[in-house]
Amino acid sequence: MNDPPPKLNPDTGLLCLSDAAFGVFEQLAKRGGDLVDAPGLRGQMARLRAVSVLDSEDQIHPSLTSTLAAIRHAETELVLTGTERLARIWVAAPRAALLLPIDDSNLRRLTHLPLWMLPETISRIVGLGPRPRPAGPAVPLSTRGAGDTRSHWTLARIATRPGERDRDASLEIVDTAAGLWVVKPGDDGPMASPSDPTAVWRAIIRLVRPSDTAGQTSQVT
Amino acid sequence: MTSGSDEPWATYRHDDAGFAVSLPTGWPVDGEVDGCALVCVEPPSGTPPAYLPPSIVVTVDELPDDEPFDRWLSRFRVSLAEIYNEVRLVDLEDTLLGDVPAYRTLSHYLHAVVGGVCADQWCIPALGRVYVVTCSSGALEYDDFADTFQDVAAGFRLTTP
Repeated sequence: MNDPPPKLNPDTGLLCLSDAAFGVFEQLAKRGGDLVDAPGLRGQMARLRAVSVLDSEDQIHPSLTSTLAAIRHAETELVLTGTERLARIWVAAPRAALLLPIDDSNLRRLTHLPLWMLPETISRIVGLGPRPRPAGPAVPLSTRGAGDTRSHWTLARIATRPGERDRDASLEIVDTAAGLWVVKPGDDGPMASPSDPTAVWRAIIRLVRPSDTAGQTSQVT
Repeated sequence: MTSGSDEPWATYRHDDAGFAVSLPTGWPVDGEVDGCALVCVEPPSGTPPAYLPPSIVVTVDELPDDEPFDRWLSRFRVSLAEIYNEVRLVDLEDTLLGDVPAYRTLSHYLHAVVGGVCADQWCIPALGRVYVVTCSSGALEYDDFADTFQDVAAGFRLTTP
């Protein structure tokens, strides 16, 4: 399998790397030097050293300090998925880290950003913007049809620490030419309810905010 | 102009501009800001806030005789990109405030000092004018204040000069 070498922009801290190299980086972030040996680990470490992500003592490059801290101290971790994984997100206020795919490449882009930029960044990724406002009752998702669907995406908050399972929450949206629909579980399968960009924007904010202020569930109508 | 009461909402009347609006009690009102009919900002809570205090601003634009409101609205929406830095349009909505048509815009922009800001705006054409109610908060706090902003807009009404 093609595993291109990582690339680091030392001025911005933007790191482009493969899934395998990110796996090592994530271990470094979460476990410090206590790495779990795995096939390819030493090779990936060597590649990270070769582009100065790690120095000779395996200390992380200063431009990656914020990214590392967001992953290491994440209060909230989110996954944004569409037809494929769109992003992984770690929130450790006042910062966040973001891992995004790069089109036509086996590399992913890892960067950090201020937390206040995260709702807008997620909205940009999913193309949230003005839409018609559908009306009517919730309908089974299976009967909505897919003909006018522009995208179908889910932003899911996953537990970052033991005992936090109750904080799991997610936002599933079907974006159509007729407007936005929020998908929730129903007795007989997933149900799609009419929604609007403001409600979805607010739900994104609730999902990304730190635990001291975030709601327990993402309610969107 | 009057404002302030012990009720959860205080009515502010601007007789010269011909409107009244309900505001959260305890949010000081400044009616003397250049270019604005009203500026109302949530007061500090004792410690320096870690976010942009939410604010409510009403401006009144005279609608030129030869300019249909639709054209004014298009111009207004284009101007958002000039007024705000890195603006992103989140929502547009034709709505009613009572029985008065209003045109709502929700946008996000980048403030040089505080970062992301959400601006919820209602444009209300009436009496040869366009009243613009702008409610702003830090991006991450918008969900806390969105219902209040909606209530402020819903409480807007025209008064007899």
